[in-house]
Amino acid sequence: MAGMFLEICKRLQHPDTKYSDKFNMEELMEAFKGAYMGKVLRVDLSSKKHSVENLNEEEVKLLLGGRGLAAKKYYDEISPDVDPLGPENKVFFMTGPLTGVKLPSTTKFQLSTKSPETGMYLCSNCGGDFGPQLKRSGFDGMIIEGKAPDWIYLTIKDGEVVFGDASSWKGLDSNATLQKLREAIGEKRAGLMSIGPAAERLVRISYINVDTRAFGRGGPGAVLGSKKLKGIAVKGTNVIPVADEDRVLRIWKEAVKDLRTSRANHTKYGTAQYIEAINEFGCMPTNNFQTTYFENAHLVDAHTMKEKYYVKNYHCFNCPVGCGMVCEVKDGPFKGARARTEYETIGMLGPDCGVDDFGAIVAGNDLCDSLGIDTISGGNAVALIMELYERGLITKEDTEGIEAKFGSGTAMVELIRLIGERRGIGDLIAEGMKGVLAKKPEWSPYILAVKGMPFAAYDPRGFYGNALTYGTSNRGACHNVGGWTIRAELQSGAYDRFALKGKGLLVKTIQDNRAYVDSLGICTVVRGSMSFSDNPQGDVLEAVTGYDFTSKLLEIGSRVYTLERLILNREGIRRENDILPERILKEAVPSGPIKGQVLTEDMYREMLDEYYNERGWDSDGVVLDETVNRARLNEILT
Amino acid sequence: MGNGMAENVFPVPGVENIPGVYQNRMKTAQKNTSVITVTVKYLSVLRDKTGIRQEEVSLSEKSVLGDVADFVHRKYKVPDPLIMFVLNGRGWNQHPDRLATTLKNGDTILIFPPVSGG
Repeated sequence: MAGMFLEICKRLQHPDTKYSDKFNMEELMEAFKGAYMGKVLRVDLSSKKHSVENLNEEEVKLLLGGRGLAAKKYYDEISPDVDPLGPENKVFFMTGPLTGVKLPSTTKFQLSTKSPETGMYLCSNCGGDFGPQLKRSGFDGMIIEGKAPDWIYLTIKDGEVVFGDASSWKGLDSNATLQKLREAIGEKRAGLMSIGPAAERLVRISYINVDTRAFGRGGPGAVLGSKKLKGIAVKGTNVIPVADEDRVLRIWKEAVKDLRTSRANHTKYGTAQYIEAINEFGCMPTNNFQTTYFENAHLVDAHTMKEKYYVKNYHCFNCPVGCGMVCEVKDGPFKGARARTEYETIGMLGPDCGVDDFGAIVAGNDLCDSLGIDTISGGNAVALIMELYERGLITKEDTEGIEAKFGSGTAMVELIRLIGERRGIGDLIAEGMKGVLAKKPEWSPYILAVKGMPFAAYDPRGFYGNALTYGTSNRGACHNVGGWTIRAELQSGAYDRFALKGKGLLVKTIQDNRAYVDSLGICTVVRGSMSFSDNPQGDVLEAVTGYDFTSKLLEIGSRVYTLERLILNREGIRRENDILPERILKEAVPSGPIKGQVLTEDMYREMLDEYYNERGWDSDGVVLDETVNRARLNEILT
Repeated sequence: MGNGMAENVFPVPGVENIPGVYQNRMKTAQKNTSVITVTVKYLSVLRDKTGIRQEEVSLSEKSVLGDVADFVHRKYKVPDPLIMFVLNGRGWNQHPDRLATTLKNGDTILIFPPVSGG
C-alpha cells in the first residue's frame, strides 16, 4: 500500500499530469474499502453534455468529502472575477463518506458556489434524499456549469443523464416543481431539487428546495435560475460499499438507541424548543434586532406549535429523530397554510418582525417555500422594510399599499410576496443586503448583516462568542458555519457569555468541528451519537471507509476552514469585512433580561485579534503562508 | 444540598402540583423569619413536567442555588442530569460558588434541558 501511495504522489508532482483523468480509479481507491463511489459527474448546461471524473485520493485524505471537497473544487475553478449570476459560475454538489450509508441521518450533502447574496464563496449543506440518491446513482458529487438556452431539468438514473424541457414549468412554485420532477423520473422515491419563481427572477435570497429541505442561505437558487435549470431528479439503485458491514450495523443500533433518549426533545418539539429559552437568555432578535426580548414569545413557542399547529414529524433519510415539525394552520386568515416551521424561521418571521401569530409564521414560511426564498434572509428583509417604514424612510407608495408595521402578520406575509415578485420596494430588497447598501448606504444603521449575509435568529449581544461567530463565518453571518457557541457559553462552565478572553479559541474549535461534520455527510443533530465532537472518538469512519480518519478529523476541519478563508482572501475579504454592523457595536440593548448590555467595537476587535492568532492569520485576517503549509494545503493547491 | 432551605418547605403528598400551595405554606410557616422570593421559570420540555411556566418560590435567607435544584427535583421528579440551571443569566457552573451560590430576593432562575445546536 505504501509503495502504491508513493507512486501516486510521484505522479501527482508531474507538472503535466491532470490526475483526475489519468489515474486508474481502482488503484486510487484501493486506500478506501468503502464509502466513496470514486466518480464525480460534470454537467454542462450550455452544450447539454456531461462527463465523469475520478475522485482524487490525496484530496479525499486531506479534505474528507462534502464541504472540504466542494471548497477545493471552487478554489480550482471559480476565479474572483466570476459573476455569481453569469454562466461562468458553477455549482459544486459533494456528498461525504457517510452520505447514504446505513447510519443515522446520513442525509447531508454540500454545495459550493459563488453567492449572489454576498458576491463571494458560499458553502451550504442540506438534508433530504438527494445526497444519498446521488451517491447510489454512482457519484460522490455533481458539478453544474454553463447556462441552458431555455428552461430545462435534469434526470439522473443510475448514472444516466437526461436533459428535459422545463419551459412549461416556468413560474411553478418550488414544491409543485418537485412533483413534476418526480413524475419526470418516474420513481416514487427519488432525490429531487427545484427552484421557485423567486429564483427565476434572480432574487438573491432564493433557495434550492431539496426534498422539501433546503440549501437555504446565500441565494444558490438564483444561481440555478441564472442557468435556467428548474430542477434535478436523481435515482440510484447501486449499493454504497462499506468496509465492515457488521461493525456498521452494530454502530447503527447503538446510535439509534442513544438518539431515542438524547434527542427525544428534538423528536417531540424540533428546534422550536429553543424559542422560549433563547428569549429568556435575552438574545431573541426583536423588531429588526432593535431589542433582544420578545414579550409574547409564549405565543410562538414550541408548546403553542405543538398544541395548535403540529401535524406530524418529518424525517430526513435514515433519521430516527425526525426533528422536522410539519405544521398547518387550521383556522383564521391563514387557514390551510402548511410548512415545516423550525427555530430560525420562527425567530425571523416572528419576533424579528414583531409577529406573535404562529399561524402567520406558518403562512410566511409556506409562502417562502412556494416562492423559493430563504426564511432567514427573508425574515431579515421583511424586518428591514418594517423598520424603514416605521421610521418614515419609505412609504405606502414603496410597499404598494401595505401597512408595513412591526407586529402585523398579514404585512409580513405580503412583504415576502413583494420581495419574491420583485414589486415595489421588494425589487431593491431582492438584491440582498449588499445590493441594498450599494444603493442606499444611508440605511446602514438598520441592516444586520456581515459580508452581505443577514444574521440568524440570535442577537450577538447576548453571547459574545456568537458575535465572533457572525463576524468570522466563512459565508457571512451564519450560526452554523460560524460556530454555534451558546451551549459552550452557557452550559460548559468554561466561559462567561459576556467575557472576551478565550472566545477566539472557542469559536475556532466549534467552526473546525462543524467543518468536518459538514464534510462527513451527516446531520449535526445526530453527530453526538457517533462521537463526532471536538474530541472525536469511535470507529465509525474506519468501519465505513476502511481508513482511520478519526484522530485527524479536527485537523481536517481546520484545513477546510483555512482553505475557505484562502478563497475569501483571494476574493478580497479582509479584517474590515469581519466587523459587525453598527447596531450591534453602538447600541446598548434597550430592554429585557440583558438590558443595558453593550458590545463595543474595541471589545469585538479584541476577540477578533485572539481569533486570528489562533487561526494563524495575520492582523488583517489574511492566512499566513506557514499556516497554509502547516495545514498541508500546499500539497494540493496550485 | 439542603443547607439553607427552610423547614417544612415541601407540601404534603397530593398537593405538591398545585401552584401557589407551596408558596403560601412556606410563608405561613416562616412568617417570623427572613424569607426571600425568587422566580423560577421552567422552559421548553421542562414545562411538560411541571405543568406551569413559572412560579415564585419563597426560601429562607441564605438559601443557595442548590436548594432550588433540590426543590425542583423533589417536587417535580426531574432527574438532575437532564436539566440546566441559569441564575440571573449565567449558567450555574459560571458562578464561582456554583450550586452553593447564595440566592437573594428577586433572583431569576431558568431551568431547562441542555441546549445543543441543530
